[in-house]
Amino acid sequence: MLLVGAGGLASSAALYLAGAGVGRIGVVDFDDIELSNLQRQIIHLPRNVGTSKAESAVRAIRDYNPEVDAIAYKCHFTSQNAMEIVKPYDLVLDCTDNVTSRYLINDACVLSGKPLVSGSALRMEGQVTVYHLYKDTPCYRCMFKEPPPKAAQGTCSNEGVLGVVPGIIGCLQALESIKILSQSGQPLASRMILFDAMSATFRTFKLRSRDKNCAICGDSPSITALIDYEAFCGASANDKPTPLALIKPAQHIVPTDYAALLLQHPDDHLLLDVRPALQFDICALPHAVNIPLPEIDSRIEEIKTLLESRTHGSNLSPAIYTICRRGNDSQRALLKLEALGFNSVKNITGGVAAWAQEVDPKFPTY
Amino acid sequence: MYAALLAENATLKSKVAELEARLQHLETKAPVESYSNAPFPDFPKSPIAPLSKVEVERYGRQLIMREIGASGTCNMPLKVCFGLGGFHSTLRRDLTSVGTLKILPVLCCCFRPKKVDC
Repeated sequence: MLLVGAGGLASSAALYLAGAGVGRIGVVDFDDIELSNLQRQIIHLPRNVGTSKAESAVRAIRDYNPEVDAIAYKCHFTSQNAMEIVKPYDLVLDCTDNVTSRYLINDACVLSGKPLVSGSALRMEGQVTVYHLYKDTPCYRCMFKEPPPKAAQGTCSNEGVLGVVPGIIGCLQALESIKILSQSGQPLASRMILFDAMSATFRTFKLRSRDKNCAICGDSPSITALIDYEAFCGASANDKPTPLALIKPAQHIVPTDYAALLLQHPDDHLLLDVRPALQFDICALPHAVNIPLPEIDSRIEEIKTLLESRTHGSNLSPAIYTICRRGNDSQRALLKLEALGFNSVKNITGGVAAWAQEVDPKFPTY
Repeated sequence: MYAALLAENATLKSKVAELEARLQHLETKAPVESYSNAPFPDFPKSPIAPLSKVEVERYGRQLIMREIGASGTCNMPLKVCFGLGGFHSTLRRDLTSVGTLKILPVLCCCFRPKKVDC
């Protein structure tokens, strides 16, 4: 069996597959372990932070069951290597965290004729299904012809996830994989389990049957070889958001410049932290005021009052500096404030993440 | 025309040299040194954070969820008792990874069917 991704889903899946004595388990992941992974990726140990995830997973599998032939692929799973990697396996588990990889894995499975056990988890919800198992089983593309717009592609790094949720979904993926290989029971083909952790409910939905017009598994497929999936989905194959350039370079201020300014003139400006209140509660600059991006319009009077309190009777109009987690929302906030008539607004490039890296190593990052 | 091209060429050459030097600097710079070389190695204004830097980084993915958040995570290090065995080892791992730090393994038989060794 091949696990694509060595994260939260793969953590529980890999150990149960190893426990069941699966002959060969391959693990593909290019990334290194980060401390922020450990909350859900329980296959990795704190002492291995900074080392390869794929190798760490394989070590855990071998430790748990030395009989298993465990193989690490420390590389990106790409259109160039996918077919070759998939070849020696009977079944593939999609344990990735982004839409781009899902299309690539799906297409590689269809083109090589392997069933795909797909799982995903976000926040307090998870889902699992088996694609492309029987003649009438749909593939991922039958279900989702077109990728969703990038803004609608939620990722764990933005929206969070409770570690147990991918753990549970990974267990179900392992279970379905074992059922398929041992040809027992009714596999979760053409059906999908939706797990809602908040209400502690599992619901099973019936899925459509294979789409005869599907671009890859239809009767006359238009895709006969792997394509460029990053171009197709308009998003890179990871769960990290890309930095945007929505404003002019002159409207940016780098964290070190802002820090210098802050030490000289600590109270002649307004630092507007536009992150959600939940994130502001995790950590914030001591003098920042939290007005989340969606609330700017309705709290405009509050911003004006705060600004007036910083003029200290002088005629100089104080500046507003916007900050967020990574520097994208704060650019949106800047544009919004400008549209509302504020003319002296600057954006702190890279957000609190850059502040922690470039100015204050004591500042927590999440 | 010729002189303008020469001048532009020289400017670009110096720009390339500057960028290469920065690249080399970035490649050779160890992350620990970057702190000591930073213009603000010990920034005087401490952040407001109910959890430590390591805790925030470790539990970040659940801290940003409205269902758990910082308050939920802060409330978690309570005493929780679980029995020993296979079922409980999964739970113990999961609970440790969400921050339930004090776990007291005690024998508990009430949920365990007699013939199943779990």
